Amino acid sequence: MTVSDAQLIGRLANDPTGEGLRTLYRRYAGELYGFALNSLNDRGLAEEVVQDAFTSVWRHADRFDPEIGSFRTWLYGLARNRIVDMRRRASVRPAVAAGEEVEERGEVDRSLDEAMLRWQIASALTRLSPDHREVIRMAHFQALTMREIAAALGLPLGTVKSRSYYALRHLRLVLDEMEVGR
Amino acid sequence: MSGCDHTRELLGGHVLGGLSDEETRLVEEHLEGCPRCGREYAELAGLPELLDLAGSADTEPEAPPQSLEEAVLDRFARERRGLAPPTRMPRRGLRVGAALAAAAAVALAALAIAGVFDSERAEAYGHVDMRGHGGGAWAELRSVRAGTEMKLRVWGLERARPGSYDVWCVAESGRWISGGSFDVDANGRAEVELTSAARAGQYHRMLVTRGRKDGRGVVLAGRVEY
Repeated sequence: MTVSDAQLIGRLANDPTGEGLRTLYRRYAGELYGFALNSLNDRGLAEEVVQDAFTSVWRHADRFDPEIGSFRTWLYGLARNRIVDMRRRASVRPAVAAGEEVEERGEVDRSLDEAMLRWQIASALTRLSPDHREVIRMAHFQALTMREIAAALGLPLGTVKSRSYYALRHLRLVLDEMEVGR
Repeated sequence: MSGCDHTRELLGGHVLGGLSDEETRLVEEHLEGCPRCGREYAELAGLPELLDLAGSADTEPEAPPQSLEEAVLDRFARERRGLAPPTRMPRRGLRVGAALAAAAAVALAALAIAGVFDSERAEAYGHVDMRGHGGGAWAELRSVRAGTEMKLRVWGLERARPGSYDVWCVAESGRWISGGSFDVDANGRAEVELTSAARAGQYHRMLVTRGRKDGRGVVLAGRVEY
């Protein structure tokens, strides 16, 4: 039986082996690293973000409340804060008026939210089967009709239609799991 | 095939904009009068907008380096070690004044010989002799709560920037488990105590590499003797 994230976090305080943390890491580090890399475009900094986020997880495990949000949301929040810090520290700008500063922070937040969403969609697509990804690529990104896709792939038209349906259903499911809103 | 079944078959193509005009008309007509299919359509209708954000269906995410997992767990192990109550009776005993220290040491040594502390500090469960690049290292391996404490003695390595050498425990599966970093003195020597999350039996080789991020240039390697 799969142990839930909340259960694993609850055990961290009495987990001398780190196995609980390892499980959480393996569940989320890949996508978190991708998000950090996508946001910072620097592998070293992305590694730092992941390390710091997981460090915060065990240091502040008592602050996690599954009633408020999922572990994923909490973890991404921790990483997001770290990325914002890094971006601010990296930007060497002359002093600006307080009003401008507030606006800049808003921009940073918006661009980061967008980067996170972009990353989550791209990440969700990689979790589809190659067949499902292919039909989405051809129909959406290459704007081909069902008939054209069937001809290109040498498949019956009905197969392409049902494959498109199941590809979208699966994508919706993955995005729901990732808590990407509708 | 019922109207709902037929519509469902067309729904994916409809959402993705790949149906013929006639099929599109049929789906739209059905959706107007069927709340169930309407709900299903509503669940999928927002996906193309989200897909636009991705920009491509082929963005292969770059996986984090394997060493990152071990670095995270290593940090966890080290912090845990710091939080855990001290397990080394001799060290605790020697935190007394200088005059008492010698007496305490004698007493502790006597007790150690008598085996009194065997239950307080685990016996070494193994050792490793690593060789290569004109240098060598000897490590004694001992179980601690966080994993393995390794008492490492190194010689014959070139001195570089601090923390320039990394120790790794290598599992049969090929997984590398961090054992921490060290630097050598001007004579190419080092004596350090490091902790790894690796546990006895989980690994069979140990390596010393130079440079954490620029590849894993192995400078010393040896098989663990349990």
